[in-house]
Amino acid sequence: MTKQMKIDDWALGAYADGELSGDAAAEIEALLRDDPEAQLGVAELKRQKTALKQAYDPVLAETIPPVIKTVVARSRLGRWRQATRGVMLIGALAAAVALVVHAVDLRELTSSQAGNMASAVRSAHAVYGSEIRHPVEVAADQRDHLMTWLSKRLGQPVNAPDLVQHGYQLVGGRLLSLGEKPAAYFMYENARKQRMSLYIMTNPEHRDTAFRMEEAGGIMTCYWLDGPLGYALAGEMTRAEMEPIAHAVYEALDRT
Amino acid sequence: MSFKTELVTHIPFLRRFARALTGDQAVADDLVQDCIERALRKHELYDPERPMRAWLYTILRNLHVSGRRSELRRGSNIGLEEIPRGADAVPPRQEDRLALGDIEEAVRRLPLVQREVLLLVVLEDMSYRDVAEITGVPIGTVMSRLSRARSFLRQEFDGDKEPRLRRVK
Repeated sequence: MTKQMKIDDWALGAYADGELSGDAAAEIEALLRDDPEAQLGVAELKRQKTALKQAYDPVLAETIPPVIKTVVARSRLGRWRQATRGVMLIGALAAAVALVVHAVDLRELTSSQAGNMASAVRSAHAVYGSEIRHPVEVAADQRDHLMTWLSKRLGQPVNAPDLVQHGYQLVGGRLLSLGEKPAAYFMYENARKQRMSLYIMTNPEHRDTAFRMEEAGGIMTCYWLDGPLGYALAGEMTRAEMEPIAHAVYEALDRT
Repeated sequence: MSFKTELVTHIPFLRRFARALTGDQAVADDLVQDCIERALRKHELYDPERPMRAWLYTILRNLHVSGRRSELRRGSNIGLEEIPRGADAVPPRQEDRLALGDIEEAVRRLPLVQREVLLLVVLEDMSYRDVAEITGVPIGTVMSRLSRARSFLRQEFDGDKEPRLRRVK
């Protein structure tokens, strides 16, 4: 193949791809009229394009996988969270606007902290939930030691709630971290050997949020901030199965 | 249009490109998901003066290349040019769509650097300039890779006896 031929190939390609200006395109068109081989070349390029479009265009009509939609939907970007426990409707319009703006800022802060917690519990659950030999550092038979130790590290009284009524027994716990802060991790297991993880970390802002639930990769998480602590649950279960457990955890911890 | 709203409009096209690039639906959708997550996380890096589409394709393309690199890294450094075809390919399917099967198989057999340029230009209708930016190479390199990819496809199809599709304008 000579160099000249190659340049022609490029020019034909650029012409077929609509890359040429009016003058340059007209020049190629003029050349094409007397060049059956080049005409075949252009037809071949069009044929390739048609074949590629026919092969892959059906993807455009497919439903977007829910998991991808979820990624967009749960992103905090450009979306005001529903107020959980907000203070609204006070004073004149200007004051109200100022308040709303302020409240949104705070919500963004706390929800990002809660969101971090949700992803932390999901990772912890994925890693330790499938661990056979050493799922926990301290087993449930040393429960008192476990609670004392983790409470001391978190600087807050921490307790693993009793979830026997919901079919889950405490397996034990371990010390983990979230960012640079210590976090308590408790593992529960039911009779079918299905595991559930509970993550407890400090909530220095002391701001509360409502329950938030999300599902990713087959793992359901529920998380909330409550006073000095934040909580996140994770397990392979449905929303309907997790909801009563989350409420039980909330109530048990509220009483301590 | 908000960032998110516009982002969503590009998802079908990102999926089409990813499908053609990887030849596998699950791998492609993982790639698109990673791309969208990254775009949302890094949205402040997006320059609203420039087309979002090219920015998203750059993210997806880079994720694909780095994924392929780490997959192939086995003791020695491997350059982009050396990445062979087909480790991510699925075997050809025995389906009734013979002609389409042929083109998909031919695309899979292209070296990655040619495959991505061909798909961006011909399937995604991107300009050479955008493709140069997305793939991080000069326009001349884009044209050379494109030309080689097209020659390869032409050779692949010279052998078959399928009636040629002709469009006369």
